[in-house]
Amino acid sequence: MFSILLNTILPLIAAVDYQYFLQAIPLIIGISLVYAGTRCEDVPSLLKFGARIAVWIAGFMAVGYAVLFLFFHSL
Amino acid sequence: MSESSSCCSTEASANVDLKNPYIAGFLGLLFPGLGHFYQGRIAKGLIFAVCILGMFGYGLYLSSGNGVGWGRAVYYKWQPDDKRFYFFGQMFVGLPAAPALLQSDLVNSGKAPILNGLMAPPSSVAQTAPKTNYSYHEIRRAQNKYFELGTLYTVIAGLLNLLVVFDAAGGVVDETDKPKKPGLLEKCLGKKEEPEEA
Repeated sequence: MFSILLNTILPLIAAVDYQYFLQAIPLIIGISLVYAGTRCEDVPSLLKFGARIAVWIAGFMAVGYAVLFLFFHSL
Repeated sequence: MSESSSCCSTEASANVDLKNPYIAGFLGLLFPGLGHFYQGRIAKGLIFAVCILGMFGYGLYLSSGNGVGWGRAVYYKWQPDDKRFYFFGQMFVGLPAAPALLQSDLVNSGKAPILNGLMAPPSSVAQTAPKTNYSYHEIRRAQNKYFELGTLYTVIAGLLNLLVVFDAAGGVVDETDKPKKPGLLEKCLGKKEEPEEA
């Protein structure tokens, strides 16, 4: 199990162009702030709620990416 | 949604004066955040304007350059060879997307696009000299994945502005008046709801 991880999955992860993922950051910030703005009126709670939504979106994307990555590279 | 996951105090949202919600909604549809400025909700209007215009501008930036013109991901074209469905998302940004319609009129009337092709529809066929416009395939080849990213950013900016328009016209979504439902975890664990305190 460990050798599979070391020999196949880790080199694949290392080979991915992660610069592409940076493009998601402004998108996550924008979406979470606008969504939080429709739920909150005062700015401090808007920012707090927006930060929480951003973490949820990033987590969801990370899990989705991990599942797709493992699925397609194990075929 | 439980108390911990809903966000805000209802006092602030209850005190919001929406003025004329129809005018606010219309202004929000014209320009992101303008409806909130009209209502005096300056901070929120600024946040919305910066987020939406920032995303729209970044999308234009991503789909600019490489010798094929500016902001090529935003354009309006409705012809058999290219039906640009994405514009129906992008147009909700309002006036910032209006140059796409002007450029579409120009190109349809046989003239060359202005402003270095900003939001101009691609030509239907690849032109030879004098080259005044580029075809869709030339633009895609020049910009590669950044054309797609630019499209994604601008469409999402337009759709988010719809949320902002609803916020301007109807005020914030008040989630405290919803009846409390047990969460999925509570249902799975069979945890009973605690009786409300008097």
